[in-house]
Amino acid sequence: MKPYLYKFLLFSVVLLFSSCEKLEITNNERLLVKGKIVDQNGNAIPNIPIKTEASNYILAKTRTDDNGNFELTSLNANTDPLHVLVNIATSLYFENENTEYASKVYSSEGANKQLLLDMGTVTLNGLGTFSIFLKNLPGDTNTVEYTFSYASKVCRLPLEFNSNDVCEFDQSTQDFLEVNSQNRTISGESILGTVAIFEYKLNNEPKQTIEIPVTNPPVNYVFEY
Amino acid sequence: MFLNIRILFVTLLFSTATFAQQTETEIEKDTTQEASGSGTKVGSVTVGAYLPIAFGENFVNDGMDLKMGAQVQLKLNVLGDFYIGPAVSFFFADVTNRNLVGNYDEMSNLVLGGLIGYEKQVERFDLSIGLGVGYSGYFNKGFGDSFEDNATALWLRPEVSYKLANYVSIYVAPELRHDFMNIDVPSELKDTFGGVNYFNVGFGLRINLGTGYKFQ
Repeated sequence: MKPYLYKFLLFSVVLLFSSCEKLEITNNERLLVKGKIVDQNGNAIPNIPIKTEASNYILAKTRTDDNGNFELTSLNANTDPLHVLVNIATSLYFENENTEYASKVYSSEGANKQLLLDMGTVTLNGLGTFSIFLKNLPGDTNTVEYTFSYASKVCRLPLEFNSNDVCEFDQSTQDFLEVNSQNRTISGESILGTVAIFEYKLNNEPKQTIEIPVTNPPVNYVFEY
Repeated sequence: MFLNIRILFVTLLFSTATFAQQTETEIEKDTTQEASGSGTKVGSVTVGAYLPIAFGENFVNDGMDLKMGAQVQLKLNVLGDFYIGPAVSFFFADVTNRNLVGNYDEMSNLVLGGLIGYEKQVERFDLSIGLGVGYSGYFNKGFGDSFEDNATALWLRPEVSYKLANYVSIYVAPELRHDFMNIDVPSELKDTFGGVNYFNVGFGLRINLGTGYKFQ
């Protein structure tokens, strides 16, 4: 028993130290981060958390006021990328704090060199769902190879502020449906107003694409093969 | 920062040279002093508490709770009642407004500098006024890392000391100080991070150096 215990302890210590990144804060520097948070209809959203973060350390944090405005003074990271987190509860797992809305994570490519981060008006869309039912028709001998991709609730963007925030399709799933595969439903939560992309090859024919809107309440689509 | 250190070294060098001259002269004049009843005032060392009080619109006054520190100062009389000497002071602070200053917890301030001034004795009191310049370091500590802000400090320091015994006095010294901060900020934050004003109060013990204090 003892050797296992030692191995476990050693593994834990190695894991602990390997997960601790060293943060270097820039001397003699402060950033100003400011902006306004609205929903997809242009209404101000109060009490949304705004944070700056580098190497999993929070460098500054505040919340939007009743008019959706925020302003905070932040430290800057010397070498690591800087992230501005909008509506993120825990920076470690990137979970939304206000679950009615999507969240956004803006990241600098290298170390941030801008002193003023004026984000302007940031739109946080609400959340919706998509759903598609893949129905295997009895008697047909078709096969389907598919890829399903969509944007997660956390929209990742470069640290450049403009009104054209296009969220990456950072979630995907793929599979191959055989002749005798069971029916299945693919669904998920994503940002309201975006689409989920269903790409498929029926019997190894050229690829086809279907866009499934993310809606609230959800609309169920059926794909028969 | 390098300019401050250079100023400090020049001040220390000058102080040391002057002090050496004073010591040589002291030996020569020793017999004369005994006979005449005057003596040489070499200078003084003050050691005491340092109570920092920030004022105005700046990140220290609006975002920190200042704690007491200490100060040490050496005055060396170089030309009659004029003196120069090095000065060191420090104090501590807790961050109270992270939204304003950034997400860190504590700050320690250290000033290393030099002082030039004039001192006059009135019976058992020594009254002086000095002008100081030096390097001011703000050593910040938080959850992730330690980092530093720095500044050039300029201060005006009147001092009143009362002689308890020949070589021992107590002093109180209010101090008007401005730190010209070297922090890079966007123009919107210039007022907050451009400089810090202090009205500090120092008090403590003063050791008088030289036989001149014995006979007066």
